Amino acid sequence: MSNSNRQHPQAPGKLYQFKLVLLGEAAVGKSSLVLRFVKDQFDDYRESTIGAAFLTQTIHLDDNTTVKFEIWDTAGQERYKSLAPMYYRNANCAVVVYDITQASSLEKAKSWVKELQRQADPNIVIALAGNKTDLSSRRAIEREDAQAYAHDAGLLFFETSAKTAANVNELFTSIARKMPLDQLAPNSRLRGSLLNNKGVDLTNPPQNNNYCAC
Amino acid sequence: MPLTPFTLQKIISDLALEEAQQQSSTPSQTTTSASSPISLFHRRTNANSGGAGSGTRFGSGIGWGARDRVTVETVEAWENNIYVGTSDGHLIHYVLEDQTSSENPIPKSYLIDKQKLGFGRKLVEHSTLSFYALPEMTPLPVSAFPHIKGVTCFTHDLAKEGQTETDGSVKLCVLKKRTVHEFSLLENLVECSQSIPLPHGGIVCCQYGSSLCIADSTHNYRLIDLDCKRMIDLMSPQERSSIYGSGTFKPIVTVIEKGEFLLNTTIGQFMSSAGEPVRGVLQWTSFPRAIGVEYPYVVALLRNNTIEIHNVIDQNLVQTVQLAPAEARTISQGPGIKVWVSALLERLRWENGFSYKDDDNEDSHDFEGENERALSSRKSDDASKEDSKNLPSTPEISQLDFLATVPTRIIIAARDSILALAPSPLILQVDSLLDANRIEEGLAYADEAVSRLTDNVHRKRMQHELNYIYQKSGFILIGETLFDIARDSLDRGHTDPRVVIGLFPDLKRLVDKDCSLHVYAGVKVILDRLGSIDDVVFKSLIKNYEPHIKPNVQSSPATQGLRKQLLAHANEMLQKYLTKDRENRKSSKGPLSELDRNILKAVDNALVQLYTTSDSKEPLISLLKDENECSLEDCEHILSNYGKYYALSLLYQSKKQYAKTLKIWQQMMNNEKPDPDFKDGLKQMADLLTQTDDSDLVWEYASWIISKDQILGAQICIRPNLRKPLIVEPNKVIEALGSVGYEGLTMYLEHLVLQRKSEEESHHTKLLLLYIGEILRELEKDEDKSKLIKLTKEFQYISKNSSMTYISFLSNRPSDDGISHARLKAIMFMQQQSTRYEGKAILEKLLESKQDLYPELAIIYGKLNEHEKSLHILVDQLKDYRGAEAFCLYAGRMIGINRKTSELLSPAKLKRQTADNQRILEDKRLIGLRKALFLKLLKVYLGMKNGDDSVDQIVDLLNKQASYFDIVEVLRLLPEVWSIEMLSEFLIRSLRQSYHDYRESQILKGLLRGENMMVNSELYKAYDEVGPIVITSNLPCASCNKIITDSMVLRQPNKDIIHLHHKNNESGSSNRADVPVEAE
Repeated sequence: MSNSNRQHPQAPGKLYQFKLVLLGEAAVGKSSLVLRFVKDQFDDYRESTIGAAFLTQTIHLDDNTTVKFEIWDTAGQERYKSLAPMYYRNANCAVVVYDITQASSLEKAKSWVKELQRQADPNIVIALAGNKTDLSSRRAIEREDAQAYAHDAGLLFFETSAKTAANVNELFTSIARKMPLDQLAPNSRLRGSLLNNKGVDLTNPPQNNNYCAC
Repeated sequence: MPLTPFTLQKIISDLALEEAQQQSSTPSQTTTSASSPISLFHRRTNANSGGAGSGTRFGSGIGWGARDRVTVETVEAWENNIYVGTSDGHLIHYVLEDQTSSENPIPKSYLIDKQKLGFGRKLVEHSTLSFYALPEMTPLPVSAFPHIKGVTCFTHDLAKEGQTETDGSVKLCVLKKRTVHEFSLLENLVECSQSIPLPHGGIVCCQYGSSLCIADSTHNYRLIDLDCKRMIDLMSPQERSSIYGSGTFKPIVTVIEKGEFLLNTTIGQFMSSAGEPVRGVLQWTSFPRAIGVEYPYVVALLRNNTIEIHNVIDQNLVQTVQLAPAEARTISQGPGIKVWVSALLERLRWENGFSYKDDDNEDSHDFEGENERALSSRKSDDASKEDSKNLPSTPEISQLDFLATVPTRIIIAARDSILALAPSPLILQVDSLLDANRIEEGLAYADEAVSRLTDNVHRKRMQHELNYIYQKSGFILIGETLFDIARDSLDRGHTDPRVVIGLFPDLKRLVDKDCSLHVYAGVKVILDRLGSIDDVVFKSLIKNYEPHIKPNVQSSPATQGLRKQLLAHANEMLQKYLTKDRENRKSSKGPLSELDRNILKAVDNALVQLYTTSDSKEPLISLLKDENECSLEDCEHILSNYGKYYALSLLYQSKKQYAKTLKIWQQMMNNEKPDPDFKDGLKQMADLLTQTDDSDLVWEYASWIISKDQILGAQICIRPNLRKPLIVEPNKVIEALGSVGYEGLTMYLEHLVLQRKSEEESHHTKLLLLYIGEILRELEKDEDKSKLIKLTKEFQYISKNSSMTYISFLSNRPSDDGISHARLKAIMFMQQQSTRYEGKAILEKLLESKQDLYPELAIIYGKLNEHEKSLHILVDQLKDYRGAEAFCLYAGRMIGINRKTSELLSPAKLKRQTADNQRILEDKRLIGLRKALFLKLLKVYLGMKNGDDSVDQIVDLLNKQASYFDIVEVLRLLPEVWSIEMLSEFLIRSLRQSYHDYRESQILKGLLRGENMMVNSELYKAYDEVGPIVITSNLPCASCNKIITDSMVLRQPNKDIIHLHHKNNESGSSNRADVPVEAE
């Protein structure tokens, strides 16, 4: 894998690579959003994701700027929740998805946002996406409520439909635009480097471990 | 058609597991050499009797299968050793023999070596790591290799697979309950090099470089950097049961490639050594029991007894292998054992490339009946093929061995057998496509494989496979008369050009049958089917046009034309192919191998024939001009038949048969063998001759060339390298050149005289005569017959106001003045470059010419020591007073040479006369000569008619050269009437000079006297110190012991008194060491 360099000197413009993670409750349409974005396809019946899926898509912001998203589409089922930190740990941006027809899914989304804000990269750009606008007849969450929440939490907000493709590209493009392209801290994504300043120092383990030190 | 990257091969069947218990301690008969003393090998613990979760690397089958039946639990391979661990705590050691035959797809011959090791007992004690020496699993002494207890799992650094650390050790990473230890395994001991506390422990681990990836029994994956001793969590446990159903799971960690792990949960997650998820995920239909990696493939043995193989790059499932139910236990990944694939042999076996279509050499290739003949010849071909199946020679056997065995890293332990998952050779899969005439698809696979080709154990064999595929495709395409595409394929398959040449009936004789020529057996089948290129074309015409063309394909003019065209295309293809191959072969560095030479010979010969018949002049010429491997016999014939005489001559030249080359050139020039390509014939001949050392040959053609072009002729005879002798006797050349003109002769003589410094007077004289001849010719050319007189006048006018001599006047003439230049050349030669010419002959020539060549005459007279005549000419005729002065100054040798050149010349001269004395003598002689000459000049001046002019010159001369004149003599010569003022300067100078000389001699005298005094005083002092020597009447001589009777004695430094004559004898006879015996 050669994605260690975010900016390629070749080509007229610059190529930025971002790691993007999709989070959200099961069956809100994360994989469908990605499939629409990456392949412009839609399946009415999709099997639920196992573990996570990995896709990439490149968009051109303008003549000089190309953004490549490395997208980790996580599984929404509860049993995979433990895998999520691995994917968002060094993500540059995240899309938290809820289903506008499922009131509980926004609650779940809010908890994801909280977790991201607590544990992910402090500079992470988070977008909240209310999916399935094609089913607006069954809407359970008002757009305004979600938008207000997004505004308070400092999130990008879109209502999307993977089925009709509404707002899908807009969602990803505005994330790309929101990315601080110029002042990306070089250590925002540690690639290829070893665990120099991360993780637990084994020679001097913290004292408050919850296992017995025998 | 999707390719299946792997083939399952059984390598050991019917493992005698139960017997193992009875046949204990059979003596080892293993013959494999233990090339490495390093006992790095994975422990096989057997936890049959309740290891209680003590993680064993191969323990995934724990609790599986019938407990009452002994099963294989684990397998490992090292070189061609296979070690099988059984569920009852035995280890069975197999040695695979290298296979040389492949009658049976399951190899039969093994050396089986079963050992009951004390394994069970030792390893029942939980989680103990003990060390054994390979290949025989001899336990190593516990004193040096203590058992390591409490081990949960261990690994070695996969980045160092097959290598050791710089100190020759192997590092082993061992996990215990709460710690990670690094052990160094040396030849004679094991030691713990580092310990790191590890809070959670782990049951599996995998190390690549400094990254250690571990997992505990609850599927907590963690990454540890062993260098900076830090750890991060990678993945946390998840609810597995709901995904694959219940059952014990074992986490799996494998290395994909450098810095990348594959962690196994419900999905396979690729993880960089920085702890980043990368690449994507793998999904299996069931939970993997074991995973092996053969990049770019991941082989997973699933719990449902299938093997799923994914491509790492796109994470797609590429192959599924179903095993018998409950058969497979685990996968092991070794450094590679050799597995025999018989199908490879059938295709890649080398066969003699000559046997095909050998018998239709004599066939005439007319159209009639070609079809039947082709058929019949093929039949006889088959027969001959049977005959030609000789036993392969030794190198061929090793080639077979190499090609037919596939290194296999992935070994699968089944319940009672061992399977290998061999990478299935591309060739087998593509070959079926080719046989189905799906060439393009086949080629596409090959191209893809080429792009994937990485440096690994498979590479060399892969190259053969690819060659096979490309070659076969190429020949099939030829069969379809798609020559252009075919050529590309042949090229990519590195096809031996001789094989391609062999397709062409009129060229195949050029392939040397004494040198081995190998063709893959599978390719040979195609070749045999193709027959010759004529057959190919004919068959293609039949196939495409047979029913439609009237009256039939053979006789229709349309197909006749088409046939010709196709054959031309085929020839063109061959030509291009050979040209490219030749380039490649030539451009490869290093000396050509025997094989290369043989191939190049066939290629060059074929190319000559192709170029000749297709009238491709330029490539033909350039081929023959450079170094080539053409054989004379083969090419001579065709070139002369086609009237390519120039090419033929170049062929001879490249073969160093210069006589033949020159002969042809001569014939071409005489229009006996006309060839329009031959240009600049004489020049080429000359170039060749100047490089030749055969004097007879050179002279034969040089004399001929001299008659055509004397300059070139002369050039041939000139050897610019002066260290090498001339190749032709100079007088012969001079005679020949002299008979045709003067230009060549001049050039040649100049070379002889000026560069080679010939000492023959005749050469110098001849050259000078030629120079003079040139002057005379120039004079004749000039319409103005009084040119010389005009020149002289002009000089006299100019020299009045400047101190120019006639020669410097000549050298300043404009370059279009041919006469002056010719004269200057002659004069320079006479004065500076040569001293050896015969003055008389020259003088005759000059006088004969009746031209007023005054300076020339003056020099000659000077040379003949008739100085007065010279001076008269210079003064009376030329009025070259400066020249005359210079003539005197340089003692008659040079008139008016520039000061600079004279200065440059003199030190060179001085150098030559190394002895100082000689130089002084020379100087004295020169001064004497100068004095005489100046006196003569003075007399000449005095004899001049023009009074005014002469007075000026005399005064000037006297003033300038006062030191050479004897004042008395001058005063006697000068007319009485001259006033003293006129001469005052000269007189003062002379007087001063003589007074100066007088004073100088006085000083010298005084100095010498003083020096004498000092020596005397030294002597007196010495006498004083020594004191008197008393000689008594009976004093014996220290040397002869006789009494000294007279006063002729010598006292030695040691105060011995001896006869004086002893001293003389001594110094005369003895060596120098005795000499410093001197009286004090």
